[in-house]
Amino acid sequence: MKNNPASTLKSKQRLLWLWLATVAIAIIALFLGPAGIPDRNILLAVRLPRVLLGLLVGMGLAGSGTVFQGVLRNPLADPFILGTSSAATAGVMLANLTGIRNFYLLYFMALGFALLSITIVYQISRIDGKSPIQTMVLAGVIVSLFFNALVFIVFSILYRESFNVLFFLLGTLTGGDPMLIVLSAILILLGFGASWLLSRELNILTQGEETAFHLGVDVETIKKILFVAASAMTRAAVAVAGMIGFVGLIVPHMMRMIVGPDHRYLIPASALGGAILLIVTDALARTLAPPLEIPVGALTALLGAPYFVYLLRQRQRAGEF
Amino acid sequence: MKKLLLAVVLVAVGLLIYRQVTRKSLPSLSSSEGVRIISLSPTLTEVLFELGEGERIVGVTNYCTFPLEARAKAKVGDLVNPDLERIAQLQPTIIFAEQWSSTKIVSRLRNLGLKVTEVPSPRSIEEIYRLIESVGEQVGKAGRAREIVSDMSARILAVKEKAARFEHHPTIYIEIDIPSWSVGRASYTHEAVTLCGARNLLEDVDKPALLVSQEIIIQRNPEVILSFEASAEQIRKRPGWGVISAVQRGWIIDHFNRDLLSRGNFRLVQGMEDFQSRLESLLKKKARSSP
Repeated sequence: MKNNPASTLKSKQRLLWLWLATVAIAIIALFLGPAGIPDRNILLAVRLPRVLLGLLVGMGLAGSGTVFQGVLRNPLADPFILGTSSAATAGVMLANLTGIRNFYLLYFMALGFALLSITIVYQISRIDGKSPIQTMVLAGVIVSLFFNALVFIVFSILYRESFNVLFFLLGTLTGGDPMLIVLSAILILLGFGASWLLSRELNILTQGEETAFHLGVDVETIKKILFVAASAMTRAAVAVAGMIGFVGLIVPHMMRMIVGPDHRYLIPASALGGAILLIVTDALARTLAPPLEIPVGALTALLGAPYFVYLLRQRQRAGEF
Repeated sequence: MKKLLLAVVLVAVGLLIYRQVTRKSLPSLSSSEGVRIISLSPTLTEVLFELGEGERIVGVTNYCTFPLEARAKAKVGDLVNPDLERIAQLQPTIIFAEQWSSTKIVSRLRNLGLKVTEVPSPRSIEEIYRLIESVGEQVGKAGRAREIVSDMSARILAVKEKAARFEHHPTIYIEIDIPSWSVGRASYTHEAVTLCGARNLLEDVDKPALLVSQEIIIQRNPEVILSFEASAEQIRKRPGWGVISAVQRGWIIDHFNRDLLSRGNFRLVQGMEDFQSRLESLLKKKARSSP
């Protein structure tokens, strides 16, 4: 991979800088909003939860993007493009339709859908143990189309609540049941922790599964754990923030340029980068057109879609396609 | 695989045939000669019934639930997703639709040779009057339409007079949907609430509806909250909302029938009277507690 900054020391240093940047941006974001410089109440009850939610969701989305890209050895993998977010949303909507009100059942139904979708994409696109870019993206598009269709069927049936549901589909950091946030925080932290612990194995996996096997890595088990970890992070992020796209795609790429491809640094760097991106876009969402809120998912898609095209074209030029 | 596919197709065809057979049979055409109306909007359905055209309506949208008689009419989908076949089958002589810039459906209906009358969606009470009058003219009930309008304006005048007697005109946050959808001044809901004697917290926004930042609501500190969806209990529990004057005083009007203040027709007056009396009892409470 090009742009590989040489030494481990450098990566460590840059990771530290990212830490500092995240903290600084989070603090600055606390003071940005349509109400201007906030009083204590607005600061603690409105802004702080939004910034924390941005941190959590950004971390989850970018973290899962990094893991998906690594395991699938595919730079265009992203929970949004692979249909994982759509599937999780479809799970939530279907649960709504069937009148399931049990909180945990609903939550884990969505997680099940996310896992199902990534399994399907993986099975469709796998050729000789590898998932080539074209088939992967196509499979992702097909699977997300399918789940989006499901979402919209349910959407048209649940017309009464649709105003809200539509907004949920566009992604937002404004709502939030504290229970849901706590559960999602736990899932994201667990998923992130598991991925980080397995970052050495992930490094070996990216060399190719055969190589990994010969180096004594239990390829199938590791892959399964990583898939579950990444799906859990996606699911948890979707549960609290709806469909916020492209964060999982853009951030790992930027971070690879900064800290290099070693997952021991890339995973935490992506989590931080995702947090920064989401905190900043959410600050924009509430300050661009006050007193209106702009859906934050629309903003990330606005940034992400052109970046996706740029990546595709670059790889075409490099002859990697 | 082939067998599975075949099975799926067979089940689908079977379902379709079943639906077709069990579908409500159409009223025979000969029995209702003359005008046959289809309404593609709940607001217009209500206006048509009020004009006494209920008998002549042959089709309504899936969301036309008022008056009760409307529920018994044939359903033709809605303006976004109308059932064109069903509409054509009902052989309407006139179709009423609210003007939506984003849908091509009206031109498709016209291409089928059907007569469609588009009425602009009202944004103010004045436009509601015009809507009722123009529908009245279309169905030959101009006189009845004028009666409705003059009844409305008389009742609104009474509401205004009552509002003028209020010592205090409290600021109000109108939440039409969760998490914080509200109305700006380009809506009749805003106008109606204002005429009742409250001041819309978001009157500076020249839009019909908007998702407003929660911190703005907290900062502007409304004295009253009117909520169509969330209950007072839910609003009280929102983080950071405890400091809002309306929450502290308990001046939250919830469980309000949203249709009364969000249908652009004569029912708005009913909504205004209901809202004003609830507002008035809040204001009286204050007068009593602070002599």
